[in-house]
Amino acid sequence: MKLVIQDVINAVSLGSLYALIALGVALLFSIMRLANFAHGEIIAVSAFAMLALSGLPVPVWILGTLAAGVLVALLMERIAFRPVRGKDMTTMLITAFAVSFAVKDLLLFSQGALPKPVRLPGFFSGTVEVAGLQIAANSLVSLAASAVLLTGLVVFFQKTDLGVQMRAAADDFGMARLLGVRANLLIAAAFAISGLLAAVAAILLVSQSGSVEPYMGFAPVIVGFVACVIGGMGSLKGAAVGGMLLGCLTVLLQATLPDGLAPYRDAFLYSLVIAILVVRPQGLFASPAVVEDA
Amino acid sequence: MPENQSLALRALRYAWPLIVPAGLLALLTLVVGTGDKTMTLVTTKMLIFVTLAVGVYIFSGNSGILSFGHMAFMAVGAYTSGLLTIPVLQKAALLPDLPGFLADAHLSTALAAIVGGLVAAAFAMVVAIPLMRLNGIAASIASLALLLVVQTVISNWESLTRGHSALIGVPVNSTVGNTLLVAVLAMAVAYVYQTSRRGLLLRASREDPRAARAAGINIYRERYLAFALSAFVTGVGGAMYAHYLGVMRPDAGFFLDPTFMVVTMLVVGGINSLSGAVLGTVVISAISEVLRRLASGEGGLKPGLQTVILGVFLLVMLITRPSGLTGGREVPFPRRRRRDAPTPGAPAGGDLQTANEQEAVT
Repeated sequence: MKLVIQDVINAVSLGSLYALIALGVALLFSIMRLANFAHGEIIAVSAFAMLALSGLPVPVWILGTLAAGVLVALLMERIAFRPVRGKDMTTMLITAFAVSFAVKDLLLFSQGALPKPVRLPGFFSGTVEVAGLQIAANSLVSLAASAVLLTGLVVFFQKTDLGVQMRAAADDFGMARLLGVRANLLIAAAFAISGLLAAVAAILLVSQSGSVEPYMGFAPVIVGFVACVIGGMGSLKGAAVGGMLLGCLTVLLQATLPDGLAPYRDAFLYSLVIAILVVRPQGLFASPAVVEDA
Repeated sequence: MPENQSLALRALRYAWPLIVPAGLLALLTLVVGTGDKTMTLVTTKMLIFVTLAVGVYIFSGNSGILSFGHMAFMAVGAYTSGLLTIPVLQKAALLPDLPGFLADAHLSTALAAIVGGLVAAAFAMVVAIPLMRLNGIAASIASLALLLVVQTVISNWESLTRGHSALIGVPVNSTVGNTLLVAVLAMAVAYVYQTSRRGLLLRASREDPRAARAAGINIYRERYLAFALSAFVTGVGGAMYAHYLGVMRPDAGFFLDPTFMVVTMLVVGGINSLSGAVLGTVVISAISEVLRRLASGEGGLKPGLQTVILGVFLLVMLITRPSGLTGGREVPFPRRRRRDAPTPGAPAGGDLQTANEQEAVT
């Protein structure tokens, strides 16, 4: 029983991390039909910022990392994505692909390929005892951070002007512009939020692995993408649910696969994903605009 | 089209978009590929990438769905061909747990490459069942998931692939000659397919899926066929790559870097045409080689910057010329010069006439 509860906690904490990553991807996709491959590199750059700032007091260190994520996202928008905005989806996808590779290789070139350890503040490591259960502290941190951010996003989208405009733009960008939504501001804001989500994801990922390396963004961004596809491209709710589902499936596979097959976990995971897509090719919460495009 | 044209001329006219790039590629190979050892290696690698790029083009160019997953088929072809050609004794030492038929198998490189392509195609025909149900970007992403599945399996199936310990002892016998032959054959397959009824149906669905569906085209079936065919060509390209490398390790350098290179080649050349796939491969190979030489010189570029520069180059291309260098067109058949051909600066009527004529030819 104890094991089951621990697995559930792990599943929810991993699921919420995946949901954060997926939301960062889905936000940009829903507004500008950009499948941002380079989201993984925002995560990686933020993680290297963590490494660079790791001696500083904890609040400065966290704020610095978040600022790095936002800054990188805004730079990408300004340099690479604004010139191709409004072109067809494949062009934007390849642009993102190019940005992703260029940034990753810049990291490889400046930082080397080997993983570098990051000294983490004490509250990330160790375990907490709750009602006789040993729970890894970083699961709790991950849970708490995701809960705060997801709530914050819901409030942002429901209550603030910018959030409402963003949802309107996600629904119909052309119409939103006609009604006076400022495209440049809105998209920059979306990139900033996406960068913030990536930076939080970076902190959570590094708190689990304890090290940073240039390729570290690749696996998470795939998870984020796949979560979006499961949820239905273009749906924010779908992305969050898809991320949660992927996290739970991952932990479920981890717990149930026999030892010999455990290394193949990701292969099983993605095969399951493809199986889900056989049943619902448009995803769980398809946005009508995307289905029509197809 | 005049009816009195001879069969030979019609055949030439049909094959022109294939003959020109293939001929130029052969010429280029003759010029640069017969020099010193380095240039031979560079040319061989370029020709292998022509095969890989053409393989991806058969699916992505004709269907309009960008595939990031084709290097999975490259890997399947590479490992299959590798396992079938490592000398039996060496294989027994490297991989003691191989199933009997694989342990005893020893094929010639040509046969092994074909088997590699067939295994890749068979694998593609299974994964295509769900993948081809997806559209546009979801399909691209699912293809990437496929790449990860294959990488995970190859990395962990140590009794078959030695995983990260690397599969060694694959005979290194990809030469300029045989890779050129394979590349030209791959181009021929692609060209025959894209001008066939099936290829045209798929291209129609790329241009306008709704109209194509309304006209009774089964998009799923056409995509499925193109996917299997392109996996075969990519698999054969992968086999050639295995016999070029000699050592295979399932890391990012084996899966992700070729993925990036092939996508860059297709986009730079123009993803919608065969000549684009070939031109892109030649251009990107040339740039990579120049960058590599700059990097190896004293006080020159640092090696890691190569992909950064290629990435920036790709970005500039996407922003300024998203349809690629060829603009997605094939090589046009030269028109016979006429006495009254409009000279540059002729009145608009002349231009219009030329435009109409060009339309009639293509």
